[in-house]
Amino acid sequence: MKVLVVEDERDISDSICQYLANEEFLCEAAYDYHSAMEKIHLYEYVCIILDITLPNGSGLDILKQLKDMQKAEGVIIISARNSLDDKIAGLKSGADDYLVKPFHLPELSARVAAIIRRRLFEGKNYITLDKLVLDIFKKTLKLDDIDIPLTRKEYELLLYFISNKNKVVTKESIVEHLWGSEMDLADSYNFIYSHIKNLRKKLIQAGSPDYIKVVYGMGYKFSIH
Amino acid sequence: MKLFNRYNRISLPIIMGIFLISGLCCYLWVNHILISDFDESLTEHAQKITDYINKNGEFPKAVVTDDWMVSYKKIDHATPSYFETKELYDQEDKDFVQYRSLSYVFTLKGQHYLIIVSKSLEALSGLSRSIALITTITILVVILVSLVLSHFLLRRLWRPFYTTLDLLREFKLGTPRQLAFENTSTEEFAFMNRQLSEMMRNADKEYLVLKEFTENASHEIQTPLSIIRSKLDIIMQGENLTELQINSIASAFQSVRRLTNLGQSLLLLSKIENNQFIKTEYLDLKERISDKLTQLEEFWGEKQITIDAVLEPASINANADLIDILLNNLFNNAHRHNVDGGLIRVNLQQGVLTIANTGDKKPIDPDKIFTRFYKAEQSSSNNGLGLSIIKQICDQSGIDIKYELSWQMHLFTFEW
Repeated sequence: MKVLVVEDERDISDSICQYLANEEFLCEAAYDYHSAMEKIHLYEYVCIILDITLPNGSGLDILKQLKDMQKAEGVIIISARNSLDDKIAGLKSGADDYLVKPFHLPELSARVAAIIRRRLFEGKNYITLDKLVLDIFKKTLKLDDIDIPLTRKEYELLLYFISNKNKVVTKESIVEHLWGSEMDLADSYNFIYSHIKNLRKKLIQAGSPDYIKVVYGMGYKFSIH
Repeated sequence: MKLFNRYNRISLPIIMGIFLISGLCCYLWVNHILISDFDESLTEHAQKITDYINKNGEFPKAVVTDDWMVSYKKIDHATPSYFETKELYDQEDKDFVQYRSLSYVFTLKGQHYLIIVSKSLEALSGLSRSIALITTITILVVILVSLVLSHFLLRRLWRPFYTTLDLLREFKLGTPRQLAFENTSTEEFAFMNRQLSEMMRNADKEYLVLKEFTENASHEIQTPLSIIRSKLDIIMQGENLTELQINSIASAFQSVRRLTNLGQSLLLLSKIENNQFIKTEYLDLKERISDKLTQLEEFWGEKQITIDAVLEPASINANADLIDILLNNLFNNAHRHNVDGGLIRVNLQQGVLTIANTGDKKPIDPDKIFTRFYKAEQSSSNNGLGLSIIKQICDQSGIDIKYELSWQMHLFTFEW
């Protein structure tokens, strides 16, 4: 599966590629309008990460062209413009998601994963990971065919970890993912500790390995090999 | 005081004064002329009597008519003749009547006689009354005319001025609409309008430049911030980081977050100023606030803060996004500046919302509390924009906001 990152800031583009690339994904970068259009014409991508302001053209034009070509790519717009109008304009033009800069890479990763799930696994509602089976529609978790009852937040937390497996994610990014960024919580990120503790307890009690590791001073990591 | 009233207040007493003085002068002058006229006729009459005596060697019969009275009296010493005005009792009218009289001495055969010739001044007092009446009427007419004139003429002459005033009242910095002053042939007003539009154009331009600067600066900050944040996310993934490295990454993360918040708050402020949140609707405040409180109680567990909320049904016609931002900022503020084991008291009624929180017992200057970047403690890590955002939203949505320290709690009152 290939992901295309259309972003004129090489530093951001590099970071995104570095973070997303793993055994499943191959990440390609385009730094301006023309090279982006060229790549879109030549190759098939599972997801396109698209900046709006580009040299030689606008990301919205690329979106329009994609629609005309009836390509099946999922598109996430990343933009420094954080206004409702921009979001609506982007989503109306056919984008699947809209992420405001600056964002957390784990957040982007989670959104990319969600789009790929929606685009590729049509009809297939399960994510299987080791012995864990997540039902995306029912939002439930099974281990060896036994239900592990999870609260809504615990389920979303697990999904977030799975989308960022083997990556360190900060408490801050977890809070922003689960509760939104408008919550200004300054110094009290610790309250998510109880959510994570409960999730871990439930997983271990059901007989799963302890995937979620505390990374000192930074956050958590969902380790799986 | 309005221009017309001020004008009338100055011009009317002057006009009245002038008329009173001129009326008085007129009266005195006419009086003087008439009296000299009287005196002349008295002198003529006296001459006639003198001629009669010289001719006949005896006094004519003393006559008393309606107007005239002549009397003779023997006296010892000759005195110079004189005129005088005096009141004499009129038997018929049973009243005192004013007379003008000439007294002179005539010597007949060595005997001095005092002859007094008097003439009634009745006709004269009628004339004085007429003059007073005419003066009064004229004054009244002039006052009336001047009022009407000032009302119509002044209003007409000053119309360009008032049109300009009306336009100025609507003027607001940063609105895209240019004020179009009307053309006027009055040189002063034309000059004023030219100067005003020049000034306003400049002010507008400066304001836009400043606003654009804030917007652009906050925008431009976002890209480098994205880079820093993504690089930190990458560095974090490294294995075998030392404690020093980890701590450095964590504090770098914190600072990136503060900068991000600062940029976003500034952008939000300029968006509110730009009227980018215009859509309003009726919002159920009770539902919104209780939802928000339930959500926040989870976050606030650590500080052991008690929330005491009394919510009655209330609604407001405002922009939903702005009210959401307002409530978030408000509750975050009440929480952030609170103490461990503190209290937040929320009271909602139709038209009034009060939020009080425990905290630092020092009162905060109510004039400064809503100023941008104002912090009660300089060291605090928040950017000092939360309350100015609240103020800006209130201004935009027609909500009155008041801050006070009451019963050792910081109390914010909102009225709409």
